Amino acid sequence: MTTTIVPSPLRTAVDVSGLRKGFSTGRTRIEVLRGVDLHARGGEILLLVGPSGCGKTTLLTLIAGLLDPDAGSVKLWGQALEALNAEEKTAFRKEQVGFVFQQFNLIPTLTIRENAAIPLLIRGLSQKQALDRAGAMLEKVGLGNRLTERPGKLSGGQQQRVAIARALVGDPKLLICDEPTASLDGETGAQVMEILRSNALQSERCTIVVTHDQRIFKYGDRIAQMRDGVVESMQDAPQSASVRAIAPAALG
Amino acid sequence: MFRIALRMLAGDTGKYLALVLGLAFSTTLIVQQGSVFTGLMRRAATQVESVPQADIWVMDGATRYFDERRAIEDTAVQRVRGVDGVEWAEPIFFGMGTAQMPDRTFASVQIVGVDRAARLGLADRFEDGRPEAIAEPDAVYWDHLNLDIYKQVRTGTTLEINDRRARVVALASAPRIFLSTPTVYTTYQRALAYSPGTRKRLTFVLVKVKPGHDHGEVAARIAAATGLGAKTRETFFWDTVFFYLKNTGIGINFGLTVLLGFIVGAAVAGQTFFTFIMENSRHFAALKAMGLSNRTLVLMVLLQALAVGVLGWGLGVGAATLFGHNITDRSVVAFLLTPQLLAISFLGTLVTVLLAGGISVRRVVAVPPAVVFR
Ligand SMILES: Nc1ncnc2c1ncn2[C@@H]1O[C@H](COP(=O)(O)OP(=O)(O)OP(=O)(O)O)[C@@H](O)[C@H]1O
Ligand SMILES: [Mg+2]
Repeated sequence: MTTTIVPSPLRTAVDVSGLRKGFSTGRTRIEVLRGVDLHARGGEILLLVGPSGCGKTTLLTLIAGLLDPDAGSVKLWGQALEALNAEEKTAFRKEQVGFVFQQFNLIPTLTIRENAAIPLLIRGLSQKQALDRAGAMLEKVGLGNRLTERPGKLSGGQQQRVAIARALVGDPKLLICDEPTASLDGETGAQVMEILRSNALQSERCTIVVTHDQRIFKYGDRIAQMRDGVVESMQDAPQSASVRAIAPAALG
Repeated sequence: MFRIALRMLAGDTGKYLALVLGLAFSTTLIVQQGSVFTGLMRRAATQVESVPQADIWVMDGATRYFDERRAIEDTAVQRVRGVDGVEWAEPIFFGMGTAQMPDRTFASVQIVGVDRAARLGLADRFEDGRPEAIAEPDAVYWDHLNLDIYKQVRTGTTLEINDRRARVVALASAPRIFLSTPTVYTTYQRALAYSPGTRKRLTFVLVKVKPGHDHGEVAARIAAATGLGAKTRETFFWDTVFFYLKNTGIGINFGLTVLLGFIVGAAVAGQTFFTFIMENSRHFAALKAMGLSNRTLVLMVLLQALAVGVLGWGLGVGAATLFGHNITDRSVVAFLLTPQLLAISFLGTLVTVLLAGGISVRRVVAVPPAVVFR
């Protein structure tokens, strides 16, 4: 059977418009985001690229509702973040958002299964349910035989896979990755992206990946180019068609 | 998440140990020093406690505490017996004397003289000898308080107390008193003979209250009827303890030691806990990014604080108890672990960890979750 369907038209998942954000440090004030417009769809991996300091990370934190914009709006599946209070935003993240960081941010004193279970524990699942599901997720990222080890025993690539398992275990609708391969060598980075590609794609899920790493461009569907606090251009990723062809298998 | 909180804590073995041991140390210090203190203070009034049969002590009206004694008239016993609610009343003599030792050195001794028939206040535990021989001429018990300097006195040794012959028929072993003077027990009449003086030589009248009567009321009635002082056993005990507390500085001196130890232990533990939380603040920020509410975060940190607190306190109490485990009311070292001390040390630990937890948690809550991207 090859007649799998790419969901189409893909629903708008993330809708950012006119987003502005500045920071004051002492007497000086820098305008980091100067009117960002960005649309990302469910079922795609959107790469966010641009020179250092252009505001990529800042944009991610605003999309995740970790910071509030000075102006403009962020809508996630039609829900405007500015309409939510701090508690509601936290609750929204708990249910809908997964994170992968450059620095992994695993808790070194916990086993990798406990680390991967955290989003479910935050949601209030029982210890057993959470650990079972985390174990199954770690299995998917190829770490099923190391569940009770601590992160420190693992290589960088393996740790990032744990972080991906943690980000995906709660099946979030939005997956936010800030330079997930920047701490890894080329080959390991590619492996991590393969895993992200084959596990993250779901018809509803939108994955946004900030990266500098040209070698992983091929794992995205579209690339948003940022410069000086705005999204300058939006284009299809190289080989995106071929990559997308493997997507339906993951759409389940 | 609470299990995760505990696992985070226990996983950092070095800090975890430092925390628990710091709290255990300050607890040990509070409990051990506190117990030595209460043990010593109790000794100040041991002799009041050591006649549990007496509900009321009758004495000169101006007496404030046990070691301040002025003799009363012998007839007081009869007068007390006539008061309503008194079941029985017996005399007891306490006085000081000088004992000439076999090697011609001497010792200040405390003389206790009890009614020959009632035997109230007489030692009832012995290391050696024939206690029943107390009725024989010149017979005394000798209690050297387990102090080596007096161990030359044995059963059969003949002493001179205030220039009168005394024959040791048994070595007594009574609870230790505050002072290190050995005690000589004998009959009331013989004790009077050792202490020549005026017609007033009775020290206390010991009173048993009839069942159904209130001790305080009977004491008041005795005082009114005889013009003497009368205190219930409890009142006399506490009056004596508090007299020493107020007038010797022992309370303040012990208090300072305990306070210093507590502050050092609490500061070390508090600082370590704060460092632990700060080192984990990035992880807490990540948890917040993942949707952990501030409420749960606060509870997690307080749980971590409580966990080390309870564990440290438990270990500290354990260590202090081990220290006191072989100490009895006969030992040279005093030790009395009271529930109040346990409560105070627990409160102290609780205040420490909650303060450290509270300060740390404020800092963690203030960390914006966006820092996880830095
Ligand atoms: N909380 C903050 N306070 C002050 N300045 C900030 C803050 N966050 C970001 N900035 C500044 O905003 C600018 C953009 O930062 P941001 O981290 O978004 O860039 P970036 O595109 O992710 O860069 P990089 O590729 O180096 O990660 C930088 O100059 C940074 O110093
Ligand atoms: Mg960045």
